[in-house]
Amino acid sequence: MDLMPSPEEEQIIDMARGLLSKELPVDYLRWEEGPAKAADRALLPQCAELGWIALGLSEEHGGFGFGATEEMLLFREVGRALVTPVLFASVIAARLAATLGESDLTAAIATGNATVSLAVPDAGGSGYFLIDAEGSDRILLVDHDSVTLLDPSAFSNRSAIRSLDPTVTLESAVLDSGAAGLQVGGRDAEPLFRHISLLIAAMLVGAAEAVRDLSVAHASERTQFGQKIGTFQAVSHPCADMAVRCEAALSQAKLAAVVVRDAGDDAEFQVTAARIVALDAALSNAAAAIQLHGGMGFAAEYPVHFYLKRAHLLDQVGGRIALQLDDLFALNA
Amino acid sequence: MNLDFTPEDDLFRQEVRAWLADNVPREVRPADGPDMKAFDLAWQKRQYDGGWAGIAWPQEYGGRGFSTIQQLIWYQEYARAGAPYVGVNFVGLLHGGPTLIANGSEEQKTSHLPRILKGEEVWCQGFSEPGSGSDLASLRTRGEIDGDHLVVNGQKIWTSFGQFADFQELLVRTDPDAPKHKGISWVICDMRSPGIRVRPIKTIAGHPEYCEVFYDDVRIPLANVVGGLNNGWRVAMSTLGFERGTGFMAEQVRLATDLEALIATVKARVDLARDTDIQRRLARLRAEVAALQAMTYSSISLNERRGAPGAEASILRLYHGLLTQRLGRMSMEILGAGSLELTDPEEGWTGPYLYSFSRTIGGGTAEIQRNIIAERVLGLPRSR
Ligand SMILES: Cc1cc2nc3c(=O)[nH]c(=O)nc-3n(C[C@H](O)[C@H](O)[C@H](O)COP(=O)(O)OP(=O)(O)OC[C@H]3O[C@@H](n4cnc5c(N)ncnc54)[C@H](O)[C@@H]3O)c2cc1C
Repeated sequence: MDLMPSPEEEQIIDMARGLLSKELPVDYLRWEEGPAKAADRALLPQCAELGWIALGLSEEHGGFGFGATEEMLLFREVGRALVTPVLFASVIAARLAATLGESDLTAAIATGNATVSLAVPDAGGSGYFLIDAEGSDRILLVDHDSVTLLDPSAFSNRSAIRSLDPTVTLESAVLDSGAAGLQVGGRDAEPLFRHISLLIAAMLVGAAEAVRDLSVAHASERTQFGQKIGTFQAVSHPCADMAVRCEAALSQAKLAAVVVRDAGDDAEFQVTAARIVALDAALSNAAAAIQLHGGMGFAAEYPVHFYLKRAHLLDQVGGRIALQLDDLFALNA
Repeated sequence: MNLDFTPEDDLFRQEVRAWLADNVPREVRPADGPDMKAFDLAWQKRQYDGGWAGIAWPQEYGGRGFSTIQQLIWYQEYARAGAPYVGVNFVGLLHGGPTLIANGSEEQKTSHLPRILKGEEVWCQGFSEPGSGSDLASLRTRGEIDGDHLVVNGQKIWTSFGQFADFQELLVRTDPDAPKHKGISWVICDMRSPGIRVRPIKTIAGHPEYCEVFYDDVRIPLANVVGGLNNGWRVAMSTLGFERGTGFMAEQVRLATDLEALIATVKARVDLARDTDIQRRLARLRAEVAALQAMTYSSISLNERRGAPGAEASILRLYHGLLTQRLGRMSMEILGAGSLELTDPEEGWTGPYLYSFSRTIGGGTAEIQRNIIAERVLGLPRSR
């Protein structure tokens, strides 16, 4: 039993953190000309080349045969760097295509030749939201109980709308009846959903940690009343609570990753728990971080709000929090 | 990363499970009084006779010297078997004994360690005073040197099981002129010494679990000072390190067991079948209790690499305290009018609910844990 990353796992963390902190610093300037022009999109081919999309695919599918643990640790860094959800959609789409024996498509996605963006259904409505979907070759529709990889032509009436998360573009669209794609649903979709939840949890952990670090840095630097604001317990205690939530969310994500990798019986339980705890960590930490930054926290130029908004976005992928809670309650321990 | 236990660990688990199945007392643990003490000591004796006493103690002192992973397995099986709370043996086994092992003289070790392991000697902790709780180093109980003795005068409070104890970890100020952390000594106090008066204090959960202890010219041999005169602060820190260490795993496992029992109750209740509010709050708690277990695994993994627990023990402790309180409060809501009947602190729901309030006070309050996390885990500037 060992929940500390192995040397090989550490290598993946270092490599990802090194590249992303250099190429994709979380600074509002990155999205100044709009998310579609942000450096993330330009970096995707390099991510593909580094094997990030195919990381967890088996070698027979042209992947690297790494486990869910490496993918989880990679996506924690991806979440910290607020990389476009296209990367996440690509990983899941490649896995879906591989499961269904579509080897050409799997290869095209894994090498970054075919880009995949994300679509989520409007809760209660009949429409869909497309995320960073401009110019993508495929669209991955993630519903609560099915996942479908579609040709973009399956969607019509596409129109750009303002995005809560300013780091992505958002469109509303309708799905043409009879549109067919590669789909898994019901019990067949369970393994894919475990992966979806695991990677979402991982990205949320990265976000929760990022805002914790921003807050600690700020509290150690900012002076008021002649002292660092971090000496006020009304500041330092919320930081401590952020650390507690990060530790809980990271530990659970690590444990869930191991169970998913080893196909344990409790995989669904553990990933659902990971997702629930990580969402709370990301949202609660971001809210606290905004407060601890004062006026700066409310300013669009300061990056904390990006994490808050991304957390809300990720919550909508594959079943929002209420559904996750219902699922977890229903399970047997 | 992996969750695999080695074949040796699996064998060990089987051995533990088999022994517990045959030896865990069937009777309910009495909630207080001499019967409780007798019960706790008998259970300790039984573990000693079975070769299971002092699982975390080094072998040279009669313990089993288990690795942290083996200790985890022991506590998992312990909870699974419904084995009783360690009770009056807590201080001796989990921090008094280990403090002597780390800091005591040979004489001190040989006269106490075997008796603690055999369930023949009860210890208590005399650290807190009416004027000194979180700010422990401000303590004022005096120990004046008179020949080869210390003469102690003053008062301690919140001394758990003080009314049953044979010995006490006692912190006294032996140099009133030194800076406050420098003039303290850690001494072994015989609770039967003339001049000691113990007054039990009832807790909000209904039992006299802790005490006030008054010292009136109590003579303690200087040979009972542990770790050197005026060096007591350092010794006390090692005691608190043990207190906040692995002994606490039992409570973490117990929390998960209790939560699952509550969820099972709710699932069986027709009137709650559509109460999605309660169901979702329980689901959230379930996710967090799962995370607590994952945190325990993470911290054990870190300890195995680093060889010692660190400040992140405070994270676990705080999280555990808060979750235990949430579980307690939810149990009250779910019980409805049944919550009006008080149970013992280890039984049913209402006793544990009331007891849960102590989880963010005893052993360092939640606020003190947050201070530790802020300063030692996050490196924030020190607060006052
Ligand atoms: C069930 C139980 C068993 C116990 N058993 C023992 C025992 O066996 N032996 C023993 O010696 N003691 C024991 N204690 C005492 C325990 O260690 C103290 O209660 C604890 O350390 C807090 O001290 P206090 O009660 O004096 O509260 P105080 O220190 O007076 O604290 C009062 C409030 O002020 C807050 N506060 C204090 N300082 C700060 C600060 N710097 N920053 C922010 N907030 C602060 C506290 O968090 C708390 O909310 C026990 C307590 C309980 C509840």
